[in-house]
Amino acid sequence: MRDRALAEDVLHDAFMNVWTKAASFDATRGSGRGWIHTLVRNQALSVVRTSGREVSADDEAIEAIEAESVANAAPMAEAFEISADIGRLDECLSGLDVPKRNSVMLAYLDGCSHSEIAERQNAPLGIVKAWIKRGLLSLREWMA
Amino acid sequence: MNAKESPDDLQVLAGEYVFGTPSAVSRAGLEARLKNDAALRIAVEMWEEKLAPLSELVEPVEPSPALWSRIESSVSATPVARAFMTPSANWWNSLNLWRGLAASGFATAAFMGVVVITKISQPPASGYMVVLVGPQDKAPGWIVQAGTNSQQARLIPLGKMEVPSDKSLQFWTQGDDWKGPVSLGLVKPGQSLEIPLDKLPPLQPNQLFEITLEPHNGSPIDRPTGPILFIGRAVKII
Repeated sequence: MRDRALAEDVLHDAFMNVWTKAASFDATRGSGRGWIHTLVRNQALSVVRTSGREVSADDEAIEAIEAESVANAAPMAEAFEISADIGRLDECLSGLDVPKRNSVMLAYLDGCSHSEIAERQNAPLGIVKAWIKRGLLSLREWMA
Repeated sequence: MNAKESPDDLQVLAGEYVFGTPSAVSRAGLEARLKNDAALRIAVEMWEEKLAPLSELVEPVEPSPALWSRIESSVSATPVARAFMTPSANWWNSLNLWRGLAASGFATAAFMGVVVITKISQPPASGYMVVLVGPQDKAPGWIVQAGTNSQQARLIPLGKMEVPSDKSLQFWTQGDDWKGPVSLGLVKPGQSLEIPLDKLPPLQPNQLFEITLEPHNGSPIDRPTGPILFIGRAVKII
């Protein structure tokens, strides 16, 4: 969330959800902290995705236009510095190559959609989707 | 589940949902599907749990105090809250109510909700605050916040600083009547830290806090060996 007022609205609504959905919290399925975290995150995502911040373009059309432009792009810089102790995830993320790691981080931390990641990484949408897909499968493998 | 969907497809779908990359429409579709698709739900929960530590990488942002009062007033306007707050209602003694709540597991969850709401609706109004300043220039570098009976304190950096790669910052505290300082662990420059206080005597006014420069793995003995970089004393906030 880049807009502070919007972020506070999200937090407000998320805490209302915490209050009204408290009955659906199931301690056997995870910690309360994680549950609240997920509620807040989902609230933020649903606001961001429906706020019209995204310009919806025809995915296939964009992919077609961009198709060949990246193959010889310069090596990508790290988008994020891993500065906190995130335990095992750190190892898993280090196993990804830079574009995949950046895509994963932009998606999770900055709440970017596929097309926003494509824009920020200057890469075609189709490739970004593939990066995320392969990134997810590799993470899944390492985390298992 | 879609017949053609492989386990990998399911994982990617769940992972992308947790990442939040799908569009609003796909997201709504997935949310509808989550209600009935246990396999997808399990995959989503797995990703939520595994990816949660990533959030540590985000710099915390303190919400405005006005937000807490706004949440508080919204919460007290909900039917559930009114039921809890109506003093005349004899709900506490209603056996049927408690039977019902116990059966649904609601009691724990509602209690949790109350704890959450109580916690968030009290901005750090009473407790201790320490401003750690440089011994020479008195420039504030860190603050420590703790609630009155809190088992945790929070160390918050006010800026970035460079530490040589073979050195570490170590955080210490000492009460007036203690024999010596006690280490609260190593601190990374520019990063806030939650410090458990449950092994220590309760915080007292004027309790000393300091950050010293120590060897990479911290002081080899049970007291500081390097120079004091930041120092301050606890002040009770009313």
